[in-house]
Amino acid sequence: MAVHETGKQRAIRIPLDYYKQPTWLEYLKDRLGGLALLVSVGWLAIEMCRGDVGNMTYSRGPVANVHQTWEANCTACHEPFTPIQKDHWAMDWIGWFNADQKCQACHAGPKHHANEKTPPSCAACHREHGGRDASLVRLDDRDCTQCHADLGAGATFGAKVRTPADMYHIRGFSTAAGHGDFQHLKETPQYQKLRFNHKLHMAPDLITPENGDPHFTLDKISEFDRLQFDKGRFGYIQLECASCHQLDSQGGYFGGRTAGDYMLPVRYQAHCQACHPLTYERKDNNDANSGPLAVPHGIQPREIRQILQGVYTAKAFKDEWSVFERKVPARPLPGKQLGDDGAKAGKLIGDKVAAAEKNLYLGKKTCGECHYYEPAGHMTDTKPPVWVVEDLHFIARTNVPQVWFQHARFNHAAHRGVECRSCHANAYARLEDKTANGMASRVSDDILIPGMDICVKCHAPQTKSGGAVTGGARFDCTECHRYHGGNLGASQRDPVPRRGIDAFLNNQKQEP
Amino acid sequence: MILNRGNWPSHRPWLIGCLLATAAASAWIISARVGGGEWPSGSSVPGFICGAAGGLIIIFECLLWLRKKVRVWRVGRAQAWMRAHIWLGLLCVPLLVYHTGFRMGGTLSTVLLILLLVVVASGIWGLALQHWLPRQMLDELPAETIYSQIEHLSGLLVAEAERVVRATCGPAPGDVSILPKSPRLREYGNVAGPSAEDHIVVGAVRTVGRLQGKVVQAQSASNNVADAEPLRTFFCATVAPFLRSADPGSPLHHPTKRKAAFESMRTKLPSAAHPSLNILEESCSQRWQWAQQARLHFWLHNWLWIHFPLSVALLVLMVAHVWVALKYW
Repeated sequence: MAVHETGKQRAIRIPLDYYKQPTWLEYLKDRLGGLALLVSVGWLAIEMCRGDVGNMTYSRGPVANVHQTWEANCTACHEPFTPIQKDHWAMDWIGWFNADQKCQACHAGPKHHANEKTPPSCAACHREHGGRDASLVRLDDRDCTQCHADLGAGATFGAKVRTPADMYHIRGFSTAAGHGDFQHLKETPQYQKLRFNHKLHMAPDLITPENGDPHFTLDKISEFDRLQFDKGRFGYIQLECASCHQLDSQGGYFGGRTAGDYMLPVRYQAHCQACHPLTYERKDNNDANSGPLAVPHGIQPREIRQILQGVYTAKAFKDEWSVFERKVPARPLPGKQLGDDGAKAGKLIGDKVAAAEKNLYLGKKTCGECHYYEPAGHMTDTKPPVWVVEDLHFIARTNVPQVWFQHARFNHAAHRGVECRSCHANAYARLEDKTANGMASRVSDDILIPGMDICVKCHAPQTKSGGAVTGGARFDCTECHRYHGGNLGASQRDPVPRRGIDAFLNNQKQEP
Repeated sequence: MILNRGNWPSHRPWLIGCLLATAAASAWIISARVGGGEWPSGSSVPGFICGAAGGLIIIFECLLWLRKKVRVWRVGRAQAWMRAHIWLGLLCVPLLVYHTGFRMGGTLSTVLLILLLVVVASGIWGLALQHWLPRQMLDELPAETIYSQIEHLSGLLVAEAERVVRATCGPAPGDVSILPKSPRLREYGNVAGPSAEDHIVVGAVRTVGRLQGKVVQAQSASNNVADAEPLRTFFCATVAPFLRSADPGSPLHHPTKRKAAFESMRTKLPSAAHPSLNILEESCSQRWQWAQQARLHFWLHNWLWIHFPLSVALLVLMVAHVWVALKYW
């Protein structure tokens, strides 16, 4: 059969509705799209069914290790549909905030300062979801300088202001950034009442140009103390920093501060008594080897006098004990007087006490070698009130701070790689090259705690000059300062009510 | 959509707008970084605005599917939609990267970011292919036809070729048509052999200068050429299978080998059969072009297997992310 085919016939070989039939490419594309929809919805459904564990899928990132226990429980910290920061921009529309209370279920978060105008919310500074190893306390300096860059705007100064004017505009840790030098350098000399000569005590063999050679050898101190001070030439006493300054390596002495932070207070009994006994005479004046008689440390002259009176009275009547067995009338009988023996004993005792007092505190020896005296008395109730002196020789409190940095943290253990001389150079009689240190301290008015100029040698941006490196250690605000509760340890600054394990893990209040 | 000099004026405003938006977002984010000490998070003002803008763009991008699906929904020109799809799709990348604060975050946010990047990358890949491949098809495949009809047209080619062979070689012993029995080819089947007055209409490609077009060509059938049996053998063994499936392993698939094969056949056939051989060669050439067209068409569209499904997943997971982010921000 012959086939005649016109052009039109040829043209209609292709059906006109061919486009309505999808090609296998389009077919597969649509099927894959449906599959993707099923997979994504299915995944979300599975995570939803997993409950709290599934919530971790939606998290914006892992939380820090310290909060890992609650990572699957978003509501442990978050209030649904409420920003976690009270200063969030969306609060203008939401207007209700409760997230801080979630934090305060575990963290008391005591106030930073009574004068703080607008305390930020917890999450404004402590930003979570930064990863397991992220620190929640090492904050950017901006979190601090938002107030401290202009303290006048960030604080209310209705209360008494102690912050000096040069600390009102701090932007970093340098004088150029507005961080003034440390407060203790300015305040401590005014109220410290202790005499101490570092140069003398740290000099080799205790020999100084001013005091000469005291020939202070080990045989002059008790056998018990010799081991502690046997550091110099044979037989000579040689002191070093650790002879008196010992680290609080156990922690807890300074109200919860971290072990290794500070040096324990210098105590007379442990560090001074060996060389500076409070001796007033020998046990037996006829025997040079009979040992000293000393009064205890830490009591006032009035109490010392009572002790001396008791000692000498006991001595005086040691062989005349029968005197104490005589009946003494409440008042002398008419025409009768005290016996001559009693009067002589009283004078003898008085003389002995006076001599002992002269040795102890009425001169510049013994007590007067280190301590200052100030009159003690009281104000009368008269009008106008009158100051009545009760004691001319009241030993003033030394007022040596146990913790010099009240508003900062310092850890000696962290600095154990640096020798003491690097920061406390003027405590030494000699320089590193063994030459005499012209700046060595001889009076307590010299504050040997270093100032900021020493700290910035390390705690500053690293620079290299002529092959020498300076700086490089961290110098952010939180390296030395804390916001909550000063610089105490966590248990001191963050007391919270304790709960059972279940309540703790589920962030619930403890049932009474 | 092709970006070329001809339609550049319509794209220029989009490019300028996207660059300005990117620059503005970058300036805002960087200033927030400098002032805040760290890259702003997704819930900060700049981060939130960037995220919201990026999310709205994603929703718009997905609406293109709807616009194409419902063709009668004439909300703007399709070309305008495609331009917006391209440029806004590129714009959403920096916006959403800024929204992340350069942090991968948790599982969902990481998956979202990866999906976004793969979707955009696949879109860019598809856009690039659409610049190269159509031109390649235009230059190298003048016999281009409708992709979905290639199989059908190949069957027609086989039918036409068989008619030519029958006319030239005469009916074969048994005279069993090699055509597949399909309704659409029925009219071409069971051909008893044309007479001298019959003409065969064969599609051919005409080239005039730089213009190429496909025309139908009526030819007289070569009738019963003596000693033309090798033509039938050649057709059944080699030409017909190639016309049907364009097997890459066929000797006719490669143009050089195809030319050599037909030259070889010309030496074996009488000159009277050469016109028929030429028709077969032309048919093979067309079939080869269709095969190339199918390959290029595959590459021109297979990127959608990644782009479309991942876009669906991106949209669904984005909705989940928005919900959770607002719940715990």
